[in-house]
Amino acid sequence: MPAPGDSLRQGDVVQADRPADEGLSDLYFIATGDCDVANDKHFGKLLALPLVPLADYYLRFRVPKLLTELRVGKNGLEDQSVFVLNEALRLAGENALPYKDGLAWMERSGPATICEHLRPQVGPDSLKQFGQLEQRLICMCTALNSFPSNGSIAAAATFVKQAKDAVGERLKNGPKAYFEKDLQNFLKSSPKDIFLLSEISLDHDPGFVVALRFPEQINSADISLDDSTSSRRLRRISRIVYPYSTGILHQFANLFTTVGFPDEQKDSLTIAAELIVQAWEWEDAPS
Amino acid sequence: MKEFEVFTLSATHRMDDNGLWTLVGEEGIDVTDLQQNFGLTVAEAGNYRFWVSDADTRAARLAIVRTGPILQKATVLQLTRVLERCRGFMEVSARFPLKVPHNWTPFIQDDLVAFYAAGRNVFVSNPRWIAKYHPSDVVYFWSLYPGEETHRQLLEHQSIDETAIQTVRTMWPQVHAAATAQFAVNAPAAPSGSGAIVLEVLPRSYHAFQTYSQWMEPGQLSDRQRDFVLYGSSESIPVKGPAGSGKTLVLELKALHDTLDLLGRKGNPRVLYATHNWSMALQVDEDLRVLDEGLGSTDFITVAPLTSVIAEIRPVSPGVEILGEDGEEGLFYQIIKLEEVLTEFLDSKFVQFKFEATKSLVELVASSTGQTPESETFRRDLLGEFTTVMGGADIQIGPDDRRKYLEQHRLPQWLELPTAIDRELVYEIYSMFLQALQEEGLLTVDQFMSSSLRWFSGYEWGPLRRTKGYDLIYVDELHLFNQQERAVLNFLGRDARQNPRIYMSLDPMQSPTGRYGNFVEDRTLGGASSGVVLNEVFRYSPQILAFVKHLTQRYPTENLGARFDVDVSHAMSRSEDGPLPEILDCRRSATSVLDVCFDLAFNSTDPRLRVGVAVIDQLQADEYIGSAQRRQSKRNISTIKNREDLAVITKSRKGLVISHAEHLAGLQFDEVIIAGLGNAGDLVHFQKFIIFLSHMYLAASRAEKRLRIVLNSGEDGMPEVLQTALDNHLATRTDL
Repeated sequence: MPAPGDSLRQGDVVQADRPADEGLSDLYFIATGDCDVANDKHFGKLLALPLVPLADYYLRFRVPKLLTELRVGKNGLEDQSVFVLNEALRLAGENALPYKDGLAWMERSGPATICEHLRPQVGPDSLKQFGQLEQRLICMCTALNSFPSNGSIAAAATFVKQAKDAVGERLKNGPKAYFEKDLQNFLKSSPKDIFLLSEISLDHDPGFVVALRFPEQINSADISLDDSTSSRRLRRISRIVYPYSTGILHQFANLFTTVGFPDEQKDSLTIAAELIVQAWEWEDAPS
Repeated sequence: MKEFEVFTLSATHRMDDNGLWTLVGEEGIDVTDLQQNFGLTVAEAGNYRFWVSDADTRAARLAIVRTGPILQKATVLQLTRVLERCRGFMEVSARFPLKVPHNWTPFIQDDLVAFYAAGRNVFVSNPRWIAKYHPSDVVYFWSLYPGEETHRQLLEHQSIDETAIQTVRTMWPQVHAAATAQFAVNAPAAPSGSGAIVLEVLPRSYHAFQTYSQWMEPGQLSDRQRDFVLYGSSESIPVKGPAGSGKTLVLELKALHDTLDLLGRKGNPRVLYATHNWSMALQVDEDLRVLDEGLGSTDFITVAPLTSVIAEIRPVSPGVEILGEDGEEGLFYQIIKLEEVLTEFLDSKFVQFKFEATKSLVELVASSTGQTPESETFRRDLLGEFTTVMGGADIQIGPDDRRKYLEQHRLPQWLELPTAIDRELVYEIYSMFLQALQEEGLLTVDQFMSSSLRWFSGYEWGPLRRTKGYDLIYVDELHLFNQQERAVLNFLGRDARQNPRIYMSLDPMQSPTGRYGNFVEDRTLGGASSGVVLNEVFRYSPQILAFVKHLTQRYPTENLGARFDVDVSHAMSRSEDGPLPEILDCRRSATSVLDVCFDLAFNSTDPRLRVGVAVIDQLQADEYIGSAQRRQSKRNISTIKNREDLAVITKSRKGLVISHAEHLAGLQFDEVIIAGLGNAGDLVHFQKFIIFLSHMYLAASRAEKRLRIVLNSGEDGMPEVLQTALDNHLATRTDL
């Protein structure tokens, strides 16, 4: 924590005087360079990166992606439900439906009604198989209908359980273990557009994410560096020190410079690699 | 196939009428057979082969077709389609100025013209002819190009080697002399037995050669016709009357009169004579030239189908093509496209609706690709829904369009779709239909008209109006235009402050394309008066008129409002008495209806008579046409089997015309034989009954002197409308 009255520096953490759930976060990491801050070359506008509690970030960004993947990804719940529906159609002597039409029909009429329509067309030898398909289809549609509309972990857990049950991938240790494992995986191989911090101050719970993809501008005049200027809208609460602050800034720079590279650059390098390998003398090497 | 195939115009008629185009791709032709059966011969010299008919003179019109690799590798069908179109071009290029059917997409530059060599989907590469032409000289089909350059680019750098033209000109007298000598030696034996009458090529009907001045002489026109031609009006006037009352003639005379009048007062008048299709446009154009007697007013009259006129004012964007050139052809192509879509729908998506939609709708959809009256009607109803309901509300396939359609308040006259699933089903077919059109870069005529209507209502048309609008507008056969087409007419005037003055002829009973049954009055055309009624029929005898009146008694027509009503019951015939229409019943005969029909047609009492065979049931038309082509030998017989034929046929060039009744609108004959009525039992279906009546009306009103109807009441039943005609002594019956 910098001493009260110490000048503002790159790496300082400021907290906004507003509810935490308004916007992405109420905490910011000051990213403007030290030299610019010291010499007032920022024209009163500072570059700030939101600091989001890890639990919030995970629920807000990671879980919906995970659930959507389970629902619409390759071999996801929707894919498989249309596959099962088309199997049922085949047993009833009907042609398969395109993906979107199959989903629309299930959503409109429900699997039980559909199977009721189709059953009379199914031959006696296939009725048992048809019944199994019907059960699977009902399970899948029930799971699809439980797709959470809010960000609660309970709703997410319900959907995951039902989705996994419906596609026959029963969860061994329940949804809690499933999410714990996924969170660990997330931390191990975190995406490049975030930087993970274990803590930012003694007053805050551990686990923070610097959301590099959402930079903001804040007014330097709004920042209070000690308690005497409490009418200001932002208050400095701590400072992220070297090497973490430098790590954040490097990753931020990397993210946006990579975004700016043309795709041809990658292609050219791939071609260059092929040419290099071809140019080497391979005659004496084993095939 | 030779490098240069040379045809006389007469030879192309023989080849077309007898289905002989395939011979062009063959070697070792049996010339004796060709001469004796078809009055044709071939003469070969080096790379040239001449096709000559026994009717050719030294002054015959010639066309050289430089075959090239595309034709040499073409299939029989492709070769036939290309040569059919060459024949068509020979016909239209004999008239000046050159007016090539719009659907060939022509581009004309000086004496060169580029146009598509065949209809859609005949070739993958869709090649185009580059042809050199002159109304009175050899037509040279120089080269077929498969590339994607624009027509203009194609023509820009063309340098045509005219050696072939010079060679043909030099060789022709010699070829003609040799052919004439050959025909003299191999003259066919005298005709005997049934089907051996030679029908002469007759001159145009008597009135066709009269000029404007001759028509305006006392006694030529009725007072009402004359008044209509001579006197102006401050509002639009519909000219109403049954078939044969001279509506087209007086409209043509009126157009000439008003144009001349306007020429005297205004430097550069713009006059539009809008028709429903190219066939009629070409006919009217020819009529106007004869009537004009060199006064020069025709130079100021644009005669073209309405769709072409609008496309000229507001061309569609590059990469988009209008499906069909007019409402009739557009409907034809749309039905084909819809059949394809329905087949795909039944195979892929139907199952999701078939258990839950209304049972009657499900049954109609399930059989919608069939050829029954119900399925034909359903396809037309679907297109009606697409045009009227979807098109009217600008519903396409955007994210909100489905909801918009499903929530739309439905009117009683629309297709009956009581449940949401019914409407979902129809919307699904519609979206597949629209996607199919979009994938092929196509726009239906109705879609084109809808978007044109919006365009005309906008600001862009305002500044263009003075140069592209019209001072006077004449519309032939208004009953054939749909509501959107009629609405567009309101915008075509040069002066935005008032409705344009439109003179239009109409007889709603001649609308055979299924637009009837719109029971809500159409108030599209603004500023129209109650119009002029022509109730004197000049074309046909009182006996035929009485029969026609009988047909129309129960005939519901599209409701264009009281101003447009035609009351046939007061019509009188000014022609001489003739025989009562005859119904010839083959029920006790061993001979089929088809054989009896052709026996009558081929053995007409007077071989100089112009005879039309009208087939009522569309499904039987191909059989009749095919049979006619197999039977005929050296006869001037014309068959109308598709739009290509219709686009080039002229009113009275042929002695005998065989066609589906629908294509006979605008033609007239001394005698008409109606056959192929279909099963009378089908007429319990309302739509089928109306189409039957419409086709009967069209066919019967083409006859000037004699009308005969051939049927087999034992097999097909006797339609109630014919039985009542017999009961009322409006026709006679003979059992064969």
